[in-house]
Amino acid sequence: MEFDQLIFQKLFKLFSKKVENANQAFGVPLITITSKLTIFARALSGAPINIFASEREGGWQGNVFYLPKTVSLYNVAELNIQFYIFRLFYLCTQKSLNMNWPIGSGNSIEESQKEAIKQSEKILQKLFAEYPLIEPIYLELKNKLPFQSAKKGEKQSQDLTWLYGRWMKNVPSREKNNQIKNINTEAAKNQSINPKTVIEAQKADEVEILHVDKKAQEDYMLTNNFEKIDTVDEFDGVWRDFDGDDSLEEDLEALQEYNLKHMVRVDDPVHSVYQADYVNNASIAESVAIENNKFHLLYPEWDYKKRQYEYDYCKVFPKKLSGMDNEYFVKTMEQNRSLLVRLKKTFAQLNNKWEQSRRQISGDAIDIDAATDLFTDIKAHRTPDERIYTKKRKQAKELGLLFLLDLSLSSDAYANGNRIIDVEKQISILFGEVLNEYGIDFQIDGFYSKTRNNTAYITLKAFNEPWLKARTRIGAAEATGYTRIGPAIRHATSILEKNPNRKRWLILLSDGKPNDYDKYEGKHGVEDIKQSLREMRVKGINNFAFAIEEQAKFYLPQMFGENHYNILTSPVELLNSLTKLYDRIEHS
Amino acid sequence: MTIKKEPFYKTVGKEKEVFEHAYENRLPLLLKGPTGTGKSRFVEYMSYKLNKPLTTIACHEETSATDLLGRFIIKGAETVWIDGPLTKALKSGEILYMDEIAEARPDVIVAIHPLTDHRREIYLDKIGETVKAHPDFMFISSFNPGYQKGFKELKPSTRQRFISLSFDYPEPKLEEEILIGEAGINAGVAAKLVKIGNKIRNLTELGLTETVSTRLLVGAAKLIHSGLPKRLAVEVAVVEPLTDDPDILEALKDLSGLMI
Ligand SMILES: Nc1ncnc2c1ncn2[C@@H]1O[C@H](COP(=O)(O)OP(=O)(O)O)[C@@H](O)[C@H]1O
Ligand SMILES: [Mg+2]
Repeated sequence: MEFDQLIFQKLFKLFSKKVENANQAFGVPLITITSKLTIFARALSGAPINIFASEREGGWQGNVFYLPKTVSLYNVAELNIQFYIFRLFYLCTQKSLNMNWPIGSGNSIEESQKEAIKQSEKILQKLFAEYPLIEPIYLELKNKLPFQSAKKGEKQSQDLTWLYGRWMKNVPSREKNNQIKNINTEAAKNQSINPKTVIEAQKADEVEILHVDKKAQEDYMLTNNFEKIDTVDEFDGVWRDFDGDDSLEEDLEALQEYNLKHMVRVDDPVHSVYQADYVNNASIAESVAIENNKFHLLYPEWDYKKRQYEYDYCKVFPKKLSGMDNEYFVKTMEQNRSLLVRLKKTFAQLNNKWEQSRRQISGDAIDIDAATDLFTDIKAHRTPDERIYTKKRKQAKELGLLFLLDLSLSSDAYANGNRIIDVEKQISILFGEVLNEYGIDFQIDGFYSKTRNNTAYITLKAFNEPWLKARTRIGAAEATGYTRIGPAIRHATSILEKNPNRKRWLILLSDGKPNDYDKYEGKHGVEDIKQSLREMRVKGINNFAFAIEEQAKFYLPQMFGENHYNILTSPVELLNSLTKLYDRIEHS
Repeated sequence: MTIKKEPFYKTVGKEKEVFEHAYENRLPLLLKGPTGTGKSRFVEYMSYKLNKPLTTIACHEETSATDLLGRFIIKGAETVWIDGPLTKALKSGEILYMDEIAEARPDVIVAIHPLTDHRREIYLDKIGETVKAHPDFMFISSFNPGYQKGFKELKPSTRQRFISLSFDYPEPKLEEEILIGEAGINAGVAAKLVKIGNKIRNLTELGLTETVSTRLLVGAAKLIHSGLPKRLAVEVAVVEPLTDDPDILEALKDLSGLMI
């Protein structure tokens, strides 16, 4: 769709909603309370629920709750908020009763709204039994729900769909063994994009899950072209094998991105970026390896449902980055000059603390315990141990850090006005400068994936490599592919295992959302990451994560645990984060 | 410490039998489970039941073998050896409970190894002495396997020296009874508190908060019993201790407010 067309459509929608907008001034937009509602939903249901805006009344589907984009039904903001809260409790109860249309059924919106009203009694009953305090809220909301202007000869009525929503189709559970052949990520490859317009995706309820495979492609009539698809709703499962295999593959790729809905680019990347919500219902088939012949390592993946490993399940291709971008390095240094000075100061202070070592031959202070032992030994006519000093060491030769950068396409998005991958790269450069000055061992790697068969693990700076040589390389790393974190962590673990330092740390920089297009997302992804971190800890290696996105606080703690991550949307925040990280390192 | 009054302890499973038989055979016991699930209370209870004095050591990052085994101190012109709490308990045949053993420094783990196998002894390297355990001595430790907060792992070689018992949050009914027994509140309030606890535990599962232990719920119950308004009691005793994130704090206060 052209941009002006889109604006037209939006305006049109606005005007056609006049009635509902009567109480606009007291209207409460969903986004102002999404984070609270998400916490409510997760606490009440115990499932990793996400909340999305819906076109109208909404409902639930899988682990997604759809709620109205704004609510202005009541002329007091408080009531509009209460409305959201009621709906949330209601949806939790409805979900716990598993009341929805069966998988694959096709019902019209009217039918779905009717069914919701019809079944509401049962849901309300359970809701009030379980949460009695919701009942008075409901009664007030129902009492004050505005009456619609009636058609001729009809009685005025309330639009109850607001209270009961509408039924949606249940989501099929994920199947394995759908394989797509010959996917390449040409389409996903990134050109540096400076978006001029950012258009929010239209709210699409009940996102369809599109299984894209050759078979389906043959089964459908070839009449349409993917570029014309604007919303998933509009996509009718029909596309055209346009000009040969290549383009189709690109389309598939784009379509997959569409399904995962991280960010979808329109055709001309220079003009606009299409932003869409994160849907975790989407599930896409697996692709077959493309690079089988190149050197790779096999790693297991954890299947939490079976509580067992799938051995040799993932292929990791270690690579060295050959590109170089000196300008990027210089620019980062220029832009962050004063930050770097402060970072070094902070680091110097922190560093002082844990360099104290005991039982030294000479040093700045006496170790009381050791001195006492010395006297005892002399009294007992034994040869005393003369190492009774504590000393500040010049070099902390006991710490090895591995920075792991998420280079997937989702890191090409913006958080707080900064491009995530830039924040990652700049942080690595700044850390690199500081660590290098203090003689601390560190490595900087990056990764991205295209299904389990292909995780690229790129070394930007190896432990034994001089920083001066490696630092110009950081800028050359670009965003591409998806985020299968598990295999990357396992490979990083094997690198850290070989590192001789006593304290070894993996530090992950990412936007905090694991996903790959072969179902590596949601609980499966999270559990695999948890498991890979567990493996790492058993080997005596610690971890910390920097999340370059606010929303990550809903994802990261699941994987890393409460005190093991920090949200960081710009390099400046590094100062505080560094302190937190050091606190962890000190106590490891 | 000898426990004079019977501690209130609600049996959850077969833990009593296991403890008694472990004691019979003088096998070391490891209590696994998150904080506030009644591990310490259980040990106190068993110590009372078996009528054996109890020594508890709370381990932390700085706990070293010296702290446990003993050290020399300077007294005037003399240096004098002082037994640490572990050595004392060992000699006088007490029940020794080492809380959060994985938190202690590695040398502690090394020091207790000979204590946890057939040798039942420790070696005091500073005075070159081996101390045999008194026949009544029993060694118990606790360990929090919750990986969320970054607790340290316990090496398999150490784990395998113990008989292990798992502790977890009790079933709602049982937890309600614990609240009633501990704080004297009525059944209705107890049920609400337990429900709030379990809902927030869902978030812990998702990593958003610290865990709501039975201990926290007992705290709230006590405040309510002594007359603090219910919502306020839940806020200060259950919600505030869990997290410092302002969004999550606010949401949890609102949510629990809708449930009590
Ligand atoms: N089974 C139980 N019976 C009685 N009280 C319990 C029980 N479980 C937990 N509690 C209550 O919870 C509190 C915390 O228990 P505690 O034994 O200190 O936990 P832990 O040692 O596992 O951290 C106790 O003070 C007690 O009030
Ligand atoms: Mg305890």
